[in-house]
Amino acid sequence: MKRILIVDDEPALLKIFELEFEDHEELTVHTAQSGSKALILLEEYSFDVIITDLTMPEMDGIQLLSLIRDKKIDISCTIVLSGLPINMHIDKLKELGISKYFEKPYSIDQIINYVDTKCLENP
Amino acid sequence: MITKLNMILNIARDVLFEFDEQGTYLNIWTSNESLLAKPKEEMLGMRIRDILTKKEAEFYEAKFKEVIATQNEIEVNYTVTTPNGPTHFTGSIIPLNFGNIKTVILYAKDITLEEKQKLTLANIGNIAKIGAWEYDIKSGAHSWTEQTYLIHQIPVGKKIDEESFLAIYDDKSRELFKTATKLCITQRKAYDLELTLKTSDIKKIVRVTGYPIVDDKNITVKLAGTVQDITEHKKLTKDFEDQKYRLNQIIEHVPGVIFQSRLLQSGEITISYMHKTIQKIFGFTADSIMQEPSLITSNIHPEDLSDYSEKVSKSAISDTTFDWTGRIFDKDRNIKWIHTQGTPKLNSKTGEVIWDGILFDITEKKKLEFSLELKQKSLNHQLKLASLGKLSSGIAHEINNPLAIVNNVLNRITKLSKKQENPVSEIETLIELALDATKRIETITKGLGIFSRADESTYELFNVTWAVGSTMRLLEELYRSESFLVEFESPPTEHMIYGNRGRLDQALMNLVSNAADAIKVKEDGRLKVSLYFDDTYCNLKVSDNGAGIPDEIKDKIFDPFFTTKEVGNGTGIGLSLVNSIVLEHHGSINVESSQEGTTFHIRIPKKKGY
Repeated sequence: MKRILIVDDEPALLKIFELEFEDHEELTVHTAQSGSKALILLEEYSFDVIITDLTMPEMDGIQLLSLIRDKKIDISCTIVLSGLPINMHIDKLKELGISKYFEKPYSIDQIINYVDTKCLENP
Repeated sequence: MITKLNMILNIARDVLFEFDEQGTYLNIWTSNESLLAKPKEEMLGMRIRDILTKKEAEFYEAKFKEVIATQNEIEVNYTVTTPNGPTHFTGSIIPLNFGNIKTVILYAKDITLEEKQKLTLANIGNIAKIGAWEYDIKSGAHSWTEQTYLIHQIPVGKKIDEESFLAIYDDKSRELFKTATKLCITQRKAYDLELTLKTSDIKKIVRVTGYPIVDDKNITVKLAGTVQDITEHKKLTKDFEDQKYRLNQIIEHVPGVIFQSRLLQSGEITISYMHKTIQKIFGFTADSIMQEPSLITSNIHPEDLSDYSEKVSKSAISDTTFDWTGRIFDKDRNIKWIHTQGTPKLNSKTGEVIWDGILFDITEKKKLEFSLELKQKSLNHQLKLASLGKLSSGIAHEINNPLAIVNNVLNRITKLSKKQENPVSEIETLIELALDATKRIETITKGLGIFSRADESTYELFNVTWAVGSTMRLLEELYRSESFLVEFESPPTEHMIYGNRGRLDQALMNLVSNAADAIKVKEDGRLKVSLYFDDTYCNLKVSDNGAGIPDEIKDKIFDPFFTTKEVGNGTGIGLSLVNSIVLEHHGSINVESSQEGTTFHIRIPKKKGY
């Protein structure tokens, strides 16, 4: 059983992610509407995949990923979603070692496909 | 002898007496018995001492003796009391020899009236301050009236000699006088001179006239004339001239053209005075405009004509200052911008209204204003672009989010539709999510109307509660992903105000955007906008809990181009624009700022005309 954490300030998107991952029986899906809620879940569980939005109130995606790195929490697959052209943050994201980013408006199918093929099939 | 007597009588003397050496009346002739002291019959045989006082009588008796002894004529002046009262005579005593008998003739003329006239003339002269003078060329004798003495400040009656009285005139005057006198004698030229004299330190200007008197042989025997002290008159004339000059100078140099115009009862407008500098403005001369006022009135720009007529009649009816700004075509059909003001006064007799006014050519000023207006417009445009640029990243993000929702909802529904069973409840949830997302997009795109409304200049009555609410919804959307909290307070009832919605939106956006900048980096940033009303005003408060405005720049924040933001971030026209928008609405703005935060408070009158 693998665990995935989806962080986005859009409850609607979280809901769609949940619905899309419903048929992944080998996957437990957790969602958080903010960075701080995500951190609480990260304390409790260990995740294989994290998908986070970059632009969020209070704590943005970069801050969240920096904290994860600082806390030495190991997540094998890190996916970033961005409403803005990603090149604004590309250096920082490279430094944080993310696996993949998607620019909005993205299709969840692409993300699910990436998760299925690149994150979940890895040993 | 008879011939001589006849001759004497012919001279038409009024009385003629023959006396012997003792002063006995031997013969009396008179043209008028009333000139005699007693009836002629009574007087004959009486002696002169019976008629005159003793002293007078002795004087004449001595004269008679002298004439008889010397056989020379002597002149006499005397006064006797006749039934008419004191009567003045002038005449001569001449010797008469008839054989051995030596007698004298006293013949004389009644000069009482002439004396009186002379006295009256002298009095008139004194009153009018005009002196008279006479100069006998042969004898060189001057005779002056009292006033002539007074003007020259020479004791009345003093014997006048030419050199001494001319000495008080200045050199130039003396020369003038001498030349004029010479010409008057030789060529009988009358003269009228202004001479300067100096008596006891007082400088006087006197007007001296002179004319020749010619005897029956056509010889110039006398000069006569008048003297008048015109110092005061001269001074008044000079003062008047000075004043006139000064007034002319003022009218000439005053920045504007002075005029006087009239509205006749017939409704016709005439121009009774127009200063000549009008030509510089219109090309027409002042005279031609005064003759033909339509040169101005018929050249008023058609778009400004009704306003002009309105202002004229308003000023005439309400007796208030005429004040008009508008366009008039000049002689070459160029447009001149004119500002004119005039104070009306009603002539109740004729029913005319007369304006004393001044007119300014403000064409250059207007040109400048237009170019500034253009600049302001382009500045507004730049500001619009700047805020648009600043907001565009937010807009992109906030539209992309709901767009992503809609996309993925549709994608999900497509997938579900291919499945055998139809999960109706899930589809309903998905559609709800999508509709919510499209509503958010709608809020943003509607709100973006701010940018197109900002250029509109229409003032109208609009629902400010609704307008501010919709702008705030946009701002809340745009700041959705920011870490600070946006609060908005508005009364439950809706309020209308008179103003320019686009401009007020712009003001609110600027204040909120400044507040957002102040709290972006803060952890617990709060931005609060409250809208509330009192009887007269619509109040809008924009508060933040940022670091506040430093005291040293507080009074500069409304200056155009003042900014604390880094180059590229601030345009420096935000707050100055807010200020000018508030002023346009006759409102006020004030700012309270401390280290705990900043509050801008705008008050806009609800009704037109505050």
